[in-house]
Amino acid sequence: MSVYDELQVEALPAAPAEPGGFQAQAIEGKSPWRLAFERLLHDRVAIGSSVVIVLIAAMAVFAPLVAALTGHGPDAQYHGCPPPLRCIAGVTPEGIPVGPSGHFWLGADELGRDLLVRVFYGARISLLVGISAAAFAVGGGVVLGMLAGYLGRVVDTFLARLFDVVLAMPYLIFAIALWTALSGRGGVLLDIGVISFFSFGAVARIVRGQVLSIKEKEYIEAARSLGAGTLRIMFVDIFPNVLAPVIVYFTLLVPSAIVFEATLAFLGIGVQPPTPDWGSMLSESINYYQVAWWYVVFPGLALLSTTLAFNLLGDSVRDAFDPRYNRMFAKET
Amino acid sequence: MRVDAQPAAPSVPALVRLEGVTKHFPVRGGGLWRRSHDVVHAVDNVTLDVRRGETLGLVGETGSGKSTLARCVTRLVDLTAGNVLLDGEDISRLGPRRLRPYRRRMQIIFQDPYGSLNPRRRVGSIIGDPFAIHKVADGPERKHRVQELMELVGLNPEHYNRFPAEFSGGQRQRIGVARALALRPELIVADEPVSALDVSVRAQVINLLAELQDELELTYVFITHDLSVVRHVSDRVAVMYLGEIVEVAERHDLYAKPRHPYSRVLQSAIPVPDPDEADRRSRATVGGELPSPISPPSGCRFHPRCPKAQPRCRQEAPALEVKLADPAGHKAACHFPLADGEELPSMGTVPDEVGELTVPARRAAL
Repeated sequence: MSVYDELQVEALPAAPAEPGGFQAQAIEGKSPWRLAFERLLHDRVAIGSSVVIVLIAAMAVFAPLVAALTGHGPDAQYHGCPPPLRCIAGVTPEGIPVGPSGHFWLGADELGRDLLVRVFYGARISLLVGISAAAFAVGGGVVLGMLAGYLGRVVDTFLARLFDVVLAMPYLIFAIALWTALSGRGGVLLDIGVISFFSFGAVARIVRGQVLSIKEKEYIEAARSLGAGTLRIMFVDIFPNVLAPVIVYFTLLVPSAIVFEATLAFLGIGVQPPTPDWGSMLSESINYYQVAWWYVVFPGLALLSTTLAFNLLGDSVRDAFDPRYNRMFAKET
Repeated sequence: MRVDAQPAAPSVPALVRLEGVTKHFPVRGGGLWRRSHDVVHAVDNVTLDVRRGETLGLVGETGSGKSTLARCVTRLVDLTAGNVLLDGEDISRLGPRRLRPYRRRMQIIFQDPYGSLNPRRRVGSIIGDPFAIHKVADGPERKHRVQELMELVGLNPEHYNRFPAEFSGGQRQRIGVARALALRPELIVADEPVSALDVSVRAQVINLLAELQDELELTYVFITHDLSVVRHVSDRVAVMYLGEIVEVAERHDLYAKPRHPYSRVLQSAIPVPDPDEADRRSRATVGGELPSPISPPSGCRFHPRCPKAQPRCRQEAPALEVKLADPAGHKAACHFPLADGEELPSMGTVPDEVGELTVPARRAAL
């Protein structure tokens, strides 16, 4: 726990004098959570990255609106038509994508699809996979880490080795092998499963370490001497103390899961065409980057800003729980 | 806990009886399988009665097994051997579930007022824990009873919703006391309850404990390494050395006629406020340090440091029994007990700064 122990010390009203120093007001103490949240509200980087995350979430939610606005469906291909007729073309007769224009604000891809609409729809997959894989990884990691740390002995030996094995496995090879074994089925679920499986080990190890130190505290002994059972001690006394690092880890796990998903899609694993996905867009675009810069830049920017925003938010959350360091640009607003 | 306590009558039945209580901790080796045959002899063959309504002081150096004994009595650790009887019922082999009803009857107050309160929980919920665990009171009733307890120990009941970090050390210790008292236990094991507090706050907490004893008819096992504290609070005193009880007696007897050389050394380590008096006073010191409890000395465990040690002490462990013309309650484990007024021969070679045992020496040097 170490670093989280002292954090609620700052910004507290002075405790009254020894016994019976009765005070009329200021009865409700601020919880450590509330203090951390208030610190977060004063952090420019946290506010900025939260805004970006909200914008990206809005992209995911309002993707159909953009499709309706432009009149282009996410999978609709605009090949144009032979000379006498005039219709919209996203791709030249030579097969080169058309750049940003009034029709295609962010340009089009090699099949004549609207990149803007596809980038918006791509946010759905990224956020879905990123957040749910991180949530599963954290959930599994917390449960197994607490069991290993608190129960100790054989359970700990077994689980700790399991975490080591998971962390030591070459995850890309495993993902490719699994993909082949399932003969290409699974899609998003495969993404989420593989990513959370390879991420829970790190969470579990952190939680286990925290629990190992917390369970030696006297307040755990006090709970035992009152007759509290194992479950009560784990959830009432230990869990609130491991929650802070877990929340921090969750915010950092989301961007890495998004990148992981993009990597898998880039390699053609998981989400399949024509589903719009930033990773698979980047994968296609490498054939055209010399003639169609927009094809690389916009999906890349979307991926970059999403992961950057989540990472910066994660840093801010960590600092809010442990405000002893000064980050660059993080001065109070 | 009464300062003017008369010796409790021996006929008072024992609330707690310890019979040959032994606790060994295995030492983990460093290897892959972490096997090791070494054990730490934290508590060895302790037999002791705690009478209802009394305060039994338990003194000894750091590492003498006091805290482990406290955890044996309250069954926070499993015994290696021996029995703990609470009010005549053996609780030393009960599993967690069957132990529960007994947990209500004995509580422990911890040394560290910072470590013993969960920093993430509000004080009201910490003190209300016993009610929640034993399903005694709920909702508004629980809150009401918690606030009563807070008032009882001298805390402002309106601070119900605060966090432990918002209280001082003394106040935190009061919170610990309130939690221990919630289920109206008969026995309170206080494990160095004031060692972590400022001297100015110590007296307040000690007086609080004394008042509560009168009010709630509590029995205390009061553990401390501070001899002036134990002298102040105890009816009877047990002296521990390296996991064993070496002497147990009524407080007055122990301070007037210590039989075990170690008791005498401890006694002479109590600081005296008057420097002239301190200079005049004869001071008993011993050299060396507490031997490793992994391989305690043979025979009498105190023999390597004892100025009176004879060959017999090395071979034969002395039994804890009545020596010389002492009353029945005064027992010492020594082959060569000190006679009334006998001084310990000086060890001569011992430098004065041997730590805890020679506090007055350092004071005199100032």
